[in-house]
Amino acid sequence: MTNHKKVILLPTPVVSLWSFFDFVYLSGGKPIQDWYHKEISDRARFSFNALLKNNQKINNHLEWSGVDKQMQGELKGQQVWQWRISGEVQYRILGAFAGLKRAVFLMGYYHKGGVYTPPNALKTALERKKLLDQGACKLDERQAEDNL
Amino acid sequence: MSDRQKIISRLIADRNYRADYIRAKLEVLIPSQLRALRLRQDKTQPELAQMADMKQSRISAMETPGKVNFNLDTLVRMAATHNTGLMVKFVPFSEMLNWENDYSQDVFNVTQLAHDIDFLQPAARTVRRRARRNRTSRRVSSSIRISPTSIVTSGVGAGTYMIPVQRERTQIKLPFEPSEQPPAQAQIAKVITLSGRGRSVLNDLLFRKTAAAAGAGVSYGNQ
Repeated sequence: MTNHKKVILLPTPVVSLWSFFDFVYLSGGKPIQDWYHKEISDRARFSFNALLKNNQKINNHLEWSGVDKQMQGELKGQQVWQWRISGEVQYRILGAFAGLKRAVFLMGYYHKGGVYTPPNALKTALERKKLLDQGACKLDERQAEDNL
Repeated sequence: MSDRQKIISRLIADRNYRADYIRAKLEVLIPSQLRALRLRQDKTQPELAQMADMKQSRISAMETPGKVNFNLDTLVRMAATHNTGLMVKFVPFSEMLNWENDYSQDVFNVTQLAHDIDFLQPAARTVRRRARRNRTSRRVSSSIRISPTSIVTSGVGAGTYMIPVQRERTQIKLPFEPSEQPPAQAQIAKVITLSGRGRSVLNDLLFRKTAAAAGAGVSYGNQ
C-alpha cells in the first residue's frame, strides 16, 4: 500500500478591505483605463496589479506598500497620495480617498529629471480631485486583472 | 478572447512575459513581508537597521516595492535578523497565485526561533499534532475520519484520499459502525450529502464496504 494522499483544495477567496476605483469623466472618458492599457509596460501592469492586490488587504492606508503619503510641491496638502509602480521606468499613479475604505485613482504618469509625462500630470490630477470632491465624475471599480 | 484568456495565452507563449509576472509579484510581496515582520516585532527602521548592521535607508528601500533587486544573500541576512527561516522554492503558477491571494501584510507573522517549539522540541510536535487531530476530527469508522475541513479515508485500494468539505460536516453522520449490520444503499444516500468529488468517493467507499460486509459485489445503478 502506498502512502499516497490526494488533496483537493478549494479556491480561497481574496478578502479585500479597500475598494479602488478609476476616475471617469461624466462624458465617459476613462483616463486611468487608457493609461493602464496604452501607456505602461506589461511589467508595470503586473506590478500595479500586485500592488493593488496587496494594498487592498491592508487595513491602515499608512502601511500600504509603495505609497508616498506626504506629497510635495503642487500636491502638498491636497489630500492626494501616490503609488510608485516599478517597471522599466518608475511609473506613478496619484489617488485620493473617497469615503470609507474607498480610494480613487486620479492620474497615472511618470517623471524623470523633472520632466513629467504627460507634462501637466499634477495639474490634471488636482483638477480631477476637484471634480471628485464635487461629485462631478463617475467611478469604475478596479479589480486586479491578473487574478486568474 | 477575454482579457484573462489573453494574459494566459501570453504567459504560455512568452518567457519574458512570464518573468515580468513573477518579478512583479516578488517585488511587492518580499518588501511587504519584510515590513510586516518589522511591524510585528514593534521595531522602527533605525532599530532594525542596527540589528541587521545596515543603514536605515537600506531598510526603507527594501520595504519599498521595486526599489531593491534582492539577492539571496540579502534575504538570508534579513531572515537571520528576524530570527526566522527562509524558503525559496519553485512552484506552479497556481500556487504562486494562491500564495499572493492568501497573503495579507496585516496578519503575516512568522514564529521566531526562540519560540519555535516544533524546531526546538520536535518530539513535542508529534504529541501536539495528535492531540490537535483528536480535538478537531472524529473517526466515524475504522477507515474514515472527518474533520471540519476534510474527510480522510484510508485503505481504499492502494491509495489514501483526503477530500475537503465545507460546512457540510454536520450533515455527515454514518448510520452504522463497521461491526454493525450495514444499511441499505438508499439509507446511505440519504445521509451522505457531500457534494461533487467528496460525495462520489465517500459513496464509493461506503458502497464497497457495505457490499463487502454483505458478501456481495458492487453494482452501480442509475445514481
